[in-house]
Amino acid sequence: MSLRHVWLLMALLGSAIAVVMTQHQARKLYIRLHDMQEQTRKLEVERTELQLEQSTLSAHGRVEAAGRERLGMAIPTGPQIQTLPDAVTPAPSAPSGAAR
Amino acid sequence: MSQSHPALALRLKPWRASVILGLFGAATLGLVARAGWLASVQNDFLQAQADQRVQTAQAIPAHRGKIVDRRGMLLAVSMPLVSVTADPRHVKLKPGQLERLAKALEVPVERLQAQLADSKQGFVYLRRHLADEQADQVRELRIAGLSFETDFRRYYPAAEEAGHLVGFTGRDGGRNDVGRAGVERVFDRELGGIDGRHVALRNSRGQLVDDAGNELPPQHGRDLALSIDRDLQYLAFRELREAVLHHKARGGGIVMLDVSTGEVLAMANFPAYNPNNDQRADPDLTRNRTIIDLYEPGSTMKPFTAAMALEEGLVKPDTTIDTGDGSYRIGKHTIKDTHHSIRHMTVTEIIQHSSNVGSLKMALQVQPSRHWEYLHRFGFGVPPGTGFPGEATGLLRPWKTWKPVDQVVMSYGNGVAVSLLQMARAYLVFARDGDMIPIRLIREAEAPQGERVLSSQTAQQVRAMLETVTQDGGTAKAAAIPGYRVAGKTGTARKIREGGGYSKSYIASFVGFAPASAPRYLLAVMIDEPGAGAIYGGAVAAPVFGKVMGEALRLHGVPRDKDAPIWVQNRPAPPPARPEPPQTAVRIAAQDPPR
Repeated sequence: MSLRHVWLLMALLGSAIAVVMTQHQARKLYIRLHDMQEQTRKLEVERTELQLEQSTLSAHGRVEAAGRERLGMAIPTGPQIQTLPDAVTPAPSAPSGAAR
Repeated sequence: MSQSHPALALRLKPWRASVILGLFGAATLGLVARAGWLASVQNDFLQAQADQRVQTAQAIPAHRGKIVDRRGMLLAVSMPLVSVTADPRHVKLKPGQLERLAKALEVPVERLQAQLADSKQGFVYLRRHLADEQADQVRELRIAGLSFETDFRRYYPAAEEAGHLVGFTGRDGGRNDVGRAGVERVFDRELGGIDGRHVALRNSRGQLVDDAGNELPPQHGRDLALSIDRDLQYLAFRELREAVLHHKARGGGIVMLDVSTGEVLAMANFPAYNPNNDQRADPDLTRNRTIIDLYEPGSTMKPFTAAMALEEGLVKPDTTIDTGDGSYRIGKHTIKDTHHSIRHMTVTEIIQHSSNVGSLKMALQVQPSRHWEYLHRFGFGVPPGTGFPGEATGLLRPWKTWKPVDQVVMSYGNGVAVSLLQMARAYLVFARDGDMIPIRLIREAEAPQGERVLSSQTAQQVRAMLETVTQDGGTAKAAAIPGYRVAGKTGTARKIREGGGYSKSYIASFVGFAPASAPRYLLAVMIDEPGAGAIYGGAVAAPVFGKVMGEALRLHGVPRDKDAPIWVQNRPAPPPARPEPPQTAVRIAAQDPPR
């Protein structure tokens, strides 16, 4: 067995160990990737749940009922609504015009 | 050294060594042969067995796109549900795990134990359709032999309100979640995804450790934004429901359009069904009547007759027409006006009081072929082009088959059949100064080009006539809205009996738009067979219009018309909410100018 053979044997052993190591590394990374994908999916689900919740809470009927019943609000009628002219600095004087 | 120990001095017979060596040699040969046999002859079988234990093929479920309204509010969404299955032959439970598993699955311990003890079965469902988080609790127990299947359930947050429009999904030919009705069906291809799959390696604890290639990524469905405004949809549905119940009617429909873009802002039907229920009601209930069902429009057709006469130059808005005693004989038929008070009516008054005789006298001055052409241009007998399954084309017979009486009755809306959506679209011509625009259900950035069908002068003249309908002396004062000018027309038509002839039941309708000065929204209301006394469009359908349109204008801060009364007669002013009404001046949004 010459010196050349020894070198080759060592190189062979080295590369064999490298293969095992990269394989291990690849599996670790794959597990991580899989976990991340799972996490993405979960966050996606959570986002949808929150959207659903938001859409339930912001429903017109619910907001209206809360305004009327809990806060005692009412929709202004007739002369309670005053239309101000566009782009005019609000005048401190008494409202005018709209009442008719 | 050899002399020092007596045992080493022992002499062995030479054949014994040979026998031992021979036995070892034979055993080694046997092993090599066995290994060779396994690696060659048995190779495929063993490899398959190994893969079966280590590899796992997994479907990657694709999710169906969401359906949202014009502002991104959810109308339909898919949520994952997990079913837990087990192979009882491979389930190994550590002490106490049975109880924890039963708790996580929310099933009785005894039932779970019985299921897992049945070793003849290779596959049992332990629990179907768990929420994702709950399934995670089961996953965390890390029990070998359990599998998890994910599928999706479709939720409809707007439930009944938008059920007819959005539709629903169901199973079809092995596929889950296939659009079966409504938008779900029309846009099934866009919404639906294609499942992916991949093969992965699993370790003894069931964790995925590596990818064995062959990955096919899932193609998720596209999200779809409708033109619908969920708040307006709610309002429209609420008021329609109220009216149908109050008038003990068979049903009703309502359509709201954006005048500038032709987008459908609301589209509702009553009676309604809940698309979230697994047991879907009969097709009679799930059908979108506003698009599919035809009805005889009645008087809502008269403005088109007037528009035709104006456009042909036969009359002007103040031209008077002699309506005689309010009846007209043609052949063996006599046509009568419902409320006859004035003999010489202007064209405006004919629309305001909804005179049949006045309308037919205008129509009879026009050639049938020309009359047909006008109706066709307004979109009668032409599908509105929403792509909805079963979209009605309407019924407009070719003019060559018309008898003289046909043209007469068509002038006031009998002898033709339309869908509510068609009627709404036709009124866009008046709201848009004479041009026709395609109807759209999908939110798009650019408004389509209109196509001119009437001169803007005629459209504005008809609009002015339609305004008188909601004013004093008109047939639909209930459609008036404080602070806004409103244009519209009532319709009350007898329903056709099966097998011909008219029945005693009616369809009451109202189509209109506001503000009449610069129309923003168009609303069409139809109530089918009101049965509590009131039958007229002005009494049954017009109040629905008033409420929904009033609220829509207020919600979107549409500037009020300065020349419109802020109190509406014949409708009691709502009492102030508190004894001393606070002087709140509500500023109308100035950033939303009228067009």
